[in-house]
Amino acid sequence: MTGGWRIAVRNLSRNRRRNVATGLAIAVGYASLVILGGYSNYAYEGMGALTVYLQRFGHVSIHKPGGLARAAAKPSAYSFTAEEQRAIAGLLAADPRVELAGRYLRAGGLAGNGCKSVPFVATGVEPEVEQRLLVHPRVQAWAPERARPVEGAALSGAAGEEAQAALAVGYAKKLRKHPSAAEPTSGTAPLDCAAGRADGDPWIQLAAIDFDGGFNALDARVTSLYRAVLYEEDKTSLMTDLPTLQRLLATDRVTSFAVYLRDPEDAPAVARDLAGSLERAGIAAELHRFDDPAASPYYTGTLAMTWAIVGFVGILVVIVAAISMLNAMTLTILERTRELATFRSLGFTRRQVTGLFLREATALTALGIAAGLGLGLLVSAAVGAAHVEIEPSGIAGTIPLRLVPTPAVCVGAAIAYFPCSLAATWLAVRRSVGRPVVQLLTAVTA
Amino acid sequence: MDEALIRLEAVTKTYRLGETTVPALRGVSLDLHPGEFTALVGPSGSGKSTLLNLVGCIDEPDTGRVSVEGVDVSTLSDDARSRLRNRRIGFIFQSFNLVPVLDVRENVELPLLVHERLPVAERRERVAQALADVGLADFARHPPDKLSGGQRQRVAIARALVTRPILVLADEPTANLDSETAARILDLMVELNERRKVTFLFSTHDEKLMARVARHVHIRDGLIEKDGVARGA
Repeated sequence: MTGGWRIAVRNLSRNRRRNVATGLAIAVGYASLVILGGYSNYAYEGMGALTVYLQRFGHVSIHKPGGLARAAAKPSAYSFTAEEQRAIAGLLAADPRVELAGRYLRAGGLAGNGCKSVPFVATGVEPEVEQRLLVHPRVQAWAPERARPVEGAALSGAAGEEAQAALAVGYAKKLRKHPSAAEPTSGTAPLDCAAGRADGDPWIQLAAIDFDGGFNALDARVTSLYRAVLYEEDKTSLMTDLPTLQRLLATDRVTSFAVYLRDPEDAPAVARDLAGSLERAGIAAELHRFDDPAASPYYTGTLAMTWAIVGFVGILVVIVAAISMLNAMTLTILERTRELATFRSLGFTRRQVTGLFLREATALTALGIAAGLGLGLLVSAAVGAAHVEIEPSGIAGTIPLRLVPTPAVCVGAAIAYFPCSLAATWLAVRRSVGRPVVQLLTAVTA
Repeated sequence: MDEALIRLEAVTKTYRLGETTVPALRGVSLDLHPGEFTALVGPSGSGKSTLLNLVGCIDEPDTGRVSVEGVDVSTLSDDARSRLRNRRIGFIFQSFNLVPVLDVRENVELPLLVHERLPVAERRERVAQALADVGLADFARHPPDKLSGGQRQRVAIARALVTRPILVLADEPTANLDSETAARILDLMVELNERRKVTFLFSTHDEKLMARVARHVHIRDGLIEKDGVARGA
């Protein structure tokens, strides 16, 4: 049939108030889907950046069997020897899908400020890997504020320098230490532990049971404070450069590797291939992907809840819009029974007449979606410009609220919309169109 | 006599109004031949519209047979009947039934939109011809609501003719028009019948319009009372 779209678009000029109301319902509903989609996209990408890069988990992590759960408590039992590290590094370097790999040593211990000691979970990091992680495009795109130290400068790890430590903000509060404190001099007042004053200098004492079972300690300068990703980590965590933590633990071992990929979609294949390579190399290891619930329960749990909320609200929104369309089209059909009879008398088949109404619904939906897209993008930009901070449960501190709708989000929302809108129209039309032509004519003339 | 274009054989049709069954046609047989100009005359409720609906393939008889060009309509699917209406039968309605969002040209073009494989140029040529035939060539871009009642009915006639049907059905085409305009519309239909050899069957209860009509079929209470050629027509 030719000319069907022309008739459909012209028909939108009839009953303008009703069509505007229906179009607005579609627009507002679609805008809310764009906004919800923008939020879920931000949650997905932002949480991904936090988990992969700032929790130093990588897209794939390599641990000794059982090490994911127990290495921090007993690192000597779940760590890779220097020889194993070289073999693993060789495998990773040979894989073009791997962008970057980092070695990590996680261990517990006590840090003292001269007055009291507070337990920590330390992560020894390779400073050169850290420097690349913190300026990584995905980190800068989705969580730049978390990549910057809250105070001080990031770990430099320069050889021959004094031991350095970066403290999580919550942990630093417990120790009452910060990097900008003045160096102790002969004129510095002694610590007044009874008064709770221990912030006279930037030095802390780190102590831990080393890999030989002895007790070891060293002094480290607090060079920076950082915001840990999770609330519970913020109260207990600190970072040192890898050599410092290895010195404290009297070892050259590490407890895990984090593998950062060029394309996150490669994670399953890389994990599978690496597992095979490690087995062939005789290295006992377990591998976890960043989206493995056992490895990243907060990430996977948060995303699952976000998807559930977005899905539920999205379905409600689409249903409301579809009901609005059903209502509008039902009235339209009632008003145009004579026209419907005319079309059928002139030789239009039922399918062709239904097609006319579906085209009309498509045009109305498309206009509503176009308006909704504009509205959704406007609201997203306004929220970004307003610098709203939110404090998600489980996350340490606040994060900026951003709505980042992507073309995929917008197209996906439209794909969700059109079938529902058309199905509602079909429901409204099918009964009338299915009636015998003479009944339609009689309905007009009765 | 030519082979009948339309043949009704012992056709009956009843309608149900609540608990009551109303017989609209009670065994009607009728042949329509090419080029005929036939008036279906009878009072309200006599069965005129029912007969037109059956001939136009928009309704089905309870018993009896309706054939168009020898084809039993009851054997056709709904889509095939739609195609038959579109290609072979033109409709003119009492209330014109024009589509208000389309201009005159587009209204006339409407039945051609479902003509697969009809070239655009021919479609335009047919529309122009139909508008010229009814004297509305200068009104092609006018919206229907800017036309008089007589002009609107001319548009409806052009729309009925544009598919070059074998038969045009008109149900009380002059009922909504004043007597002068009604006479002009009838003159136009007669002229088209004579000039274009279009077969017409129209219903009316206005005896004044009968003078120029060749064949009168009188119907009353669902039965054909009289079928003959009018004197002086």
